Amino acid sequence: MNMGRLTSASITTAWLRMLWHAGCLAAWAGLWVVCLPAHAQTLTLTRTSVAAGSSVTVSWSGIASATGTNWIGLYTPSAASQNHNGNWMYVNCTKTAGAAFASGSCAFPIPSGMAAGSYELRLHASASWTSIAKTALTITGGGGTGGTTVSVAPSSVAAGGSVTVSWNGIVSPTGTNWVGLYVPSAASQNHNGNWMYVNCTKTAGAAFASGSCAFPIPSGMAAGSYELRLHASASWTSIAKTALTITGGGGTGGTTVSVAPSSVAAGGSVTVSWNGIVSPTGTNWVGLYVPSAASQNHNGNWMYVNCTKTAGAAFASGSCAFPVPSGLASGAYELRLHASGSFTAIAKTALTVTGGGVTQPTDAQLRDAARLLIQASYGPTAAAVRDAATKGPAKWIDDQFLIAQRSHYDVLRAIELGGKPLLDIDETSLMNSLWKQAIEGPDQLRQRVAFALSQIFVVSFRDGDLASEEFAFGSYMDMLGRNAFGNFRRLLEDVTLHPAMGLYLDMMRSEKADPNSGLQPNENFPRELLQLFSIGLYQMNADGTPKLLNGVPIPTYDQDVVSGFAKAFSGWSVGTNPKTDDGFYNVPWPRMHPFWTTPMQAFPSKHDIGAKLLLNGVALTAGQTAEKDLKDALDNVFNHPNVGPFIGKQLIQRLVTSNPTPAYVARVAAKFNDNGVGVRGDMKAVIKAILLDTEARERNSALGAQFGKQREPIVRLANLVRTFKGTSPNGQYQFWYTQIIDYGLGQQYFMAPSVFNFFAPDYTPQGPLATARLVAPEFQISTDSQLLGTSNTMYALINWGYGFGNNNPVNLNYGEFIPVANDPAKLVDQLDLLMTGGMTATATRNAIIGAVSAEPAANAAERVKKAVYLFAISPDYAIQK
Amino acid sequence: MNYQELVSSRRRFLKQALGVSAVGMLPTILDMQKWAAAAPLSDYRALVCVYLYGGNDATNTVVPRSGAQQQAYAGERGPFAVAPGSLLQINPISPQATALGLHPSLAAMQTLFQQGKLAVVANVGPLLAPTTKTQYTNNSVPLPPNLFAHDEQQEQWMTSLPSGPQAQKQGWGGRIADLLNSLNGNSQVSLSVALDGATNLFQIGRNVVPFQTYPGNLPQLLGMESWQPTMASAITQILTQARTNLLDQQWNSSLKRAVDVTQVVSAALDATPALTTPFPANNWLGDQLKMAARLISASGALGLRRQIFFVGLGGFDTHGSQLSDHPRLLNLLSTALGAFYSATVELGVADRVTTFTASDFGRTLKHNGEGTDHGWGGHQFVMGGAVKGGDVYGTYPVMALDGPDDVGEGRLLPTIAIDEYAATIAKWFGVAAGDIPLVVPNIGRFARRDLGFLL
Repeated sequence: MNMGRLTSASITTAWLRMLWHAGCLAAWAGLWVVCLPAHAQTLTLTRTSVAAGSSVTVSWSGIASATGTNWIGLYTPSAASQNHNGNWMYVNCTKTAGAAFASGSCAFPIPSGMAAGSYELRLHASASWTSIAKTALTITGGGGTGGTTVSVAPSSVAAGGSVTVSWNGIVSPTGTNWVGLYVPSAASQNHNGNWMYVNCTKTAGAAFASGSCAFPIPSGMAAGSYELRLHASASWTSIAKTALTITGGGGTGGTTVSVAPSSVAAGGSVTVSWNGIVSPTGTNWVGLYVPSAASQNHNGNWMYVNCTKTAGAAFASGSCAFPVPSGLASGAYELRLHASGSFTAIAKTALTVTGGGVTQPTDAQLRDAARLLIQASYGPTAAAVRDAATKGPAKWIDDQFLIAQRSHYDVLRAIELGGKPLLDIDETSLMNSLWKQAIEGPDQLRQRVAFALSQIFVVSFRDGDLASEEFAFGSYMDMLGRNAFGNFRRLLEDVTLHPAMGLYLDMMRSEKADPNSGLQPNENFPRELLQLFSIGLYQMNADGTPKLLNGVPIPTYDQDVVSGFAKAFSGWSVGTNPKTDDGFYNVPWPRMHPFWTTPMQAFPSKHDIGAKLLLNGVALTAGQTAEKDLKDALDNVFNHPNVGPFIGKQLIQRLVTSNPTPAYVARVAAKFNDNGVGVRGDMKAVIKAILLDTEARERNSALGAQFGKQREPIVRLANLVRTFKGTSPNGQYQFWYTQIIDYGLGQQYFMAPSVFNFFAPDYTPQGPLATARLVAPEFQISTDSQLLGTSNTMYALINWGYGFGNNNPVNLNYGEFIPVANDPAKLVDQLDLLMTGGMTATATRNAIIGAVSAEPAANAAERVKKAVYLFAISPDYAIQK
Repeated sequence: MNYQELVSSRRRFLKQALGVSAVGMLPTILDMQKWAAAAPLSDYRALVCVYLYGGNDATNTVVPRSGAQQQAYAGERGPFAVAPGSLLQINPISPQATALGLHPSLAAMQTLFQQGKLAVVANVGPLLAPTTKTQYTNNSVPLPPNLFAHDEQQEQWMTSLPSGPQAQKQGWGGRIADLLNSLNGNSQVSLSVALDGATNLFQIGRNVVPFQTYPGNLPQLLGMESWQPTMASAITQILTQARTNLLDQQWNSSLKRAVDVTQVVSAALDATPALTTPFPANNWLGDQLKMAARLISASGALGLRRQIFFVGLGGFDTHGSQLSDHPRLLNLLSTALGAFYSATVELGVADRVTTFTASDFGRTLKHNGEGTDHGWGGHQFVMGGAVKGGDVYGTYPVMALDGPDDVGEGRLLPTIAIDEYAATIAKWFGVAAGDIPLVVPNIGRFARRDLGFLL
């Protein structure tokens, strides 16, 4: 079960680079090399001589296999294609990849700072440095500072605000070019501290021939005419300047506060932002008032600029989530920003509160909301519990359905387009994205369902074909997230044709039988599609219990059916390859965009056109196309009566409880079979049926001796980070290698040891559960060492900060709980709500109160840490109810 | 100091605190002095199950070397056939119809075979009764359900019983452990140890709960250190409270046992001299077997007369990339087994430790262009000083599609049942003849309770 990880380092890098540069693609499976044939691409210009600062129209034609990542760059004739100095564009005439154009034209701007001389424009192969055509160009009138420009937007600004200063065409730029703010007659020496280097800081950094910076205008600045000057490297010589008008200067007039949205329902939350506090301190604060109220009458609705009621760091500008109490009457309000530690308001902004007069959620509603968030999100926060309690579970779910999905693949792609070579990007970037969305993403329900689906439709890094393919999993998780609120039939098809699954379970390149060579279609994917992804081994009743014949379960299929599906699925391979024999067999490497986002395609000559036996005695007639066979075969699976109970029960197990009653399974399966308007496989209907069922929601049901599930380790860790607002210095959650046992969790996204996932839905550990014939899937990874290792990881996170990589641990923030730490019972009650949904047993509660009380009250943070760790290892937290 | 260092420093602290600590069930200094001197007890025996997850391609592991069998094999396997010239020749003591060789990656195992320390058991698999090709074709004897599916055949290998959704799930290793557990007296450490970092069904019994760990330093629970006694006592209170919820009970008993047993095992390992036998680097199976050797070395100190180890290696499901993956995996297997045998020699227990392989299934004789698909019967290895090695037990199958051993695409109809293989091993380990049916309940359907490969 070791990973046998293939890394880019295991291949001779120089050899690879050489192939890549030569326009060759290396393929695994025998290590043959495919070199692209020369095509008749052309690149032409409307005129071959152009002045610096103007533009030229470049046209091309004849790109074979054109994609959206073909691109054009401007070079001196001897330069390597890497040295484009920012002078490049994709074939859609922008720097964001778009549509493919085999032929077309773009206006190509020639920077004003460009020296006169001979240049060339080069057309490149998709997302590569390989030039496939070029054309010569003469640039005139370049050179000197005449081409250097600086501009500012807006050109008029209030003191205390900020402008964007942009420049272009610095000849011989260095990191010490700089920008300063002046009255027009002032010498450049008199910048009064209002200056920055071209890296937007006062510490010299990278050189930028062109660029832009946000340039702050001090709030104390007098109104009038000013100018921004761009300077030569480390000198007082200005090489370009632009005019700027400053208004409303002097005093606090430059300090602003704003709120979004400007209208909110009581019980919701708004974001309050401020700017330009002169001499900011940690005791500047924001309060909520009816417009006529004195600032003393904040009624507890206030916070410091660090977003808590405990004074912390100073922020001249910033923003906070500001909760609007649910009991607030509707009407006009205002948010006021105050001077340090005083009741003097220095800025204010209007806010409308609607739906006021709503009563505060009851404690019971808060507990149920916390339980819902434990089941359906990566963990409660105090604000999320209030929000969900106010909305109620159905409305909370409906709102979650509306939140847009964010792409993991795009995060990886942005890193690549930002200039990091494809082969230097590793799984840490994917893990950063997965954990960041899990912890910060607003679309919590989608993410939990997608995670659950990733444990049913398993693909894993622990496979030679996918070992270093983080883009594969980024695209695959996006696909699961897209289908999480869609239809199961589409999900099945997207899984079947995704190249990650194609490589993982070998459907990619599976071809029809060849009686001469002994070859037969690959059975790996069809077997697991039936056993794990859809119907299971045994016929089920509608409530998920096995159908018996003479006391014996009835198989759903036999080897002949597996062979039938293998034939039906034969003839599919790489979607981005040409439809030729070579295209069928040669899986390219490296797998460049858009390999992973392109579904597999059919290769008619490789498809078995004989008849095929499917489920329930259905047979496909001979002579059908690969596409028709695939559609019919997936319809055959999708319509099998097992799918509703088989998939429904596993989703219940991932979200709510390990041992749902058959009646609960039957209610969910019924919604799978028909969402109420005749649609089968509607995932939204299934999710609502799971989460709104009385068995999931009723506290009495949760108090039962069989209810609940082990919170799986990934969710356990994410819950802590969300509830205690963990942050790290660089904003990432570097939980990169949590699959390891001793300093990790024994679990990580897309790191299952096999297609059977980390745990099987019917796993039972020895002990009371086995005696009661109950299951507890998550206990399959709860070895002695994993139990200790995971607990120790929680200890590290809670006490010291946790994360891989240098100097970037995630630290939890206990600010919310410090104020109640002097009252151990109250502290434990607050934690009980957020960590267990109010399900903590008295014995656990007393043990934690005892340990907290033994710590001196002065060590408030230590008290909170102790309490959180004791919760974390308790059955009350580890077993969610 | 990073987290790893912190944990390890806590552990050092714990070690230094031994003897003056009041924590849990830690042994005293006196115990440890006794342990340091203890060797395995005189009637000590150990079993090591080497599980090859995914279904080892047995046909490319023990391979026909010449003649018609070789030609038939090469004809069907095509590009996936091992070239006869590269095979490592073995010369079994008993006459064989088929001249055989081992895969070229199995050099250390070839040596052990020729030294008489390793045997091949041919064409073993799950059966409900002895089954001929005709009976299979006519469906005239019951067959194990869901043949050729990974988890089902794994379960059949580990339990010796055909399963179903409502089967009692206990492994034959677990049943052996239940029968012999009294030999270990009151030892706090389980007779059964899993070393691949995972749980396995093979070791699950009615009473004996395996210690499930992995190679390397064993983590101790943070918060239990003697310098924070109120934390330690609160943890103990939480984990020992009475609960009505069954999952709560499971959590508490699992975590509490992990805390206690890991402390004891860790202390015993620290007091045991280091092994000098070199183990192969970057070899996960070797890492696990080295840990098994260390635990054997500590068995006397822990008061254990019987131990059953489970080690695992994954990746054998070679539907694709078979040409690159399979030789690499076999090399891991061979070098790890070679080192482990040497370690048992170093510890003076070579004839008291028996190692045997198991795997989901063999693979099809036909190929799919990238590799091979799920089969049924497969060949296994048995290693140790007590093994009557240098021989092949059972009959090497006929390499012919539609031949007497083929049930389709070259899936082998097993000629030895798992029950017979397990019964032979259980008998050597000390299970009384009358108790063999408690280990393998279906053994009465088969003629042989001892295949003869163990002394």
